[in-house]
Amino acid sequence: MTFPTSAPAPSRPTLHGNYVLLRADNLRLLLPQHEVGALAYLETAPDAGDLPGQFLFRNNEKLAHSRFVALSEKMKPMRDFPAERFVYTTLGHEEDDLLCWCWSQVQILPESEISPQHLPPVLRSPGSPITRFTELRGKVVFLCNARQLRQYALDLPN
Amino acid sequence: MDTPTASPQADDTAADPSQGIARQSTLSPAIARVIPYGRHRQVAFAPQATVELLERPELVDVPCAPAYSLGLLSWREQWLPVIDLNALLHGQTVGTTAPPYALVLAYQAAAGEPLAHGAIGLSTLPVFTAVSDTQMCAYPDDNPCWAQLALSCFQHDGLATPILHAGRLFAQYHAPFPHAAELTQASV
Repeated sequence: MTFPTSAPAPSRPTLHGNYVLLRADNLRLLLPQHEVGALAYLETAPDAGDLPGQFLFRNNEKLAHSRFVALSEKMKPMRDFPAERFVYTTLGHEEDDLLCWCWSQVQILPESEISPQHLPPVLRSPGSPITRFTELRGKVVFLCNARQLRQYALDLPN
Repeated sequence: MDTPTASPQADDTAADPSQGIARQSTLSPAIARVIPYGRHRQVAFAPQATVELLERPELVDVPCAPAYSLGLLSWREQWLPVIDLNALLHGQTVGTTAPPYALVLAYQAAAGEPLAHGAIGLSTLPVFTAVSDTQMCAYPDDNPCWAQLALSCFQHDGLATPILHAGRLFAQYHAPFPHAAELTQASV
């Protein structure tokens, strides 16, 4: 009995554009640059807020109305603010978005070429914002967009 | 309870011959590769469906993946899905450390298509065993998933051992299977 050979490496479409790599510990997300707001740095860790998973600065007039979120590697807000999240960005286009997302690393990747591949179906949960991934500098990064990331992380309706 | 076919080969093997257990002759037993995956639990694959056993696999965690996911594995310039059988079949929680072994499996998504691959995490090494028709038995009654995922079942070392079809494992997302405890409760 003879069996077919393994599938040849599929030719993947190459995407060109400006991207931002957002890292939360070992979680690496790649978003289009236009969906990520300007980054800023945290000098100190925020305090626990009124809602679980959201943090705030009680004694900082400039940031008094902002709420900070730190995602876990499972893309859910963490209850305890991790010390190494020293940089934050906004996500999406909402002008009145006061949610600031805190990361271990933010890297802007201008004029980049990426060749994403689809996540195997068996690893794709219904409703997951992650359907594609690629390799960047030897690391696997997962493609996402701001709207899906927010919806999933905050359990927002579609 | 679904009863497997009496022969180790089933209809699906026509579409994906790599999944059937082929005999050398009508008199000689077939060979299966038995995979222990939990306490008093084991499954089997046709040996030609098992491609390579890897030690200390390096896995990449996939965010938002199903509970049975162990992640992605780089293998021969491909990224393979790796799953935990105990988590998939019985809802057990995946451990926090990577399994010591990963078994790469091959399958065809459809007749005539090239081989695709996936992997399962293992805590112990698989073994080869001969299988004869006299060993065929009904599926274990701990899960209704066997009719969906398996081709047939045989007795080995006192355990009913379903022969799994790798393509059915890896071709799609699996919603949690109802377990024996839930089935018993539902019938009360």
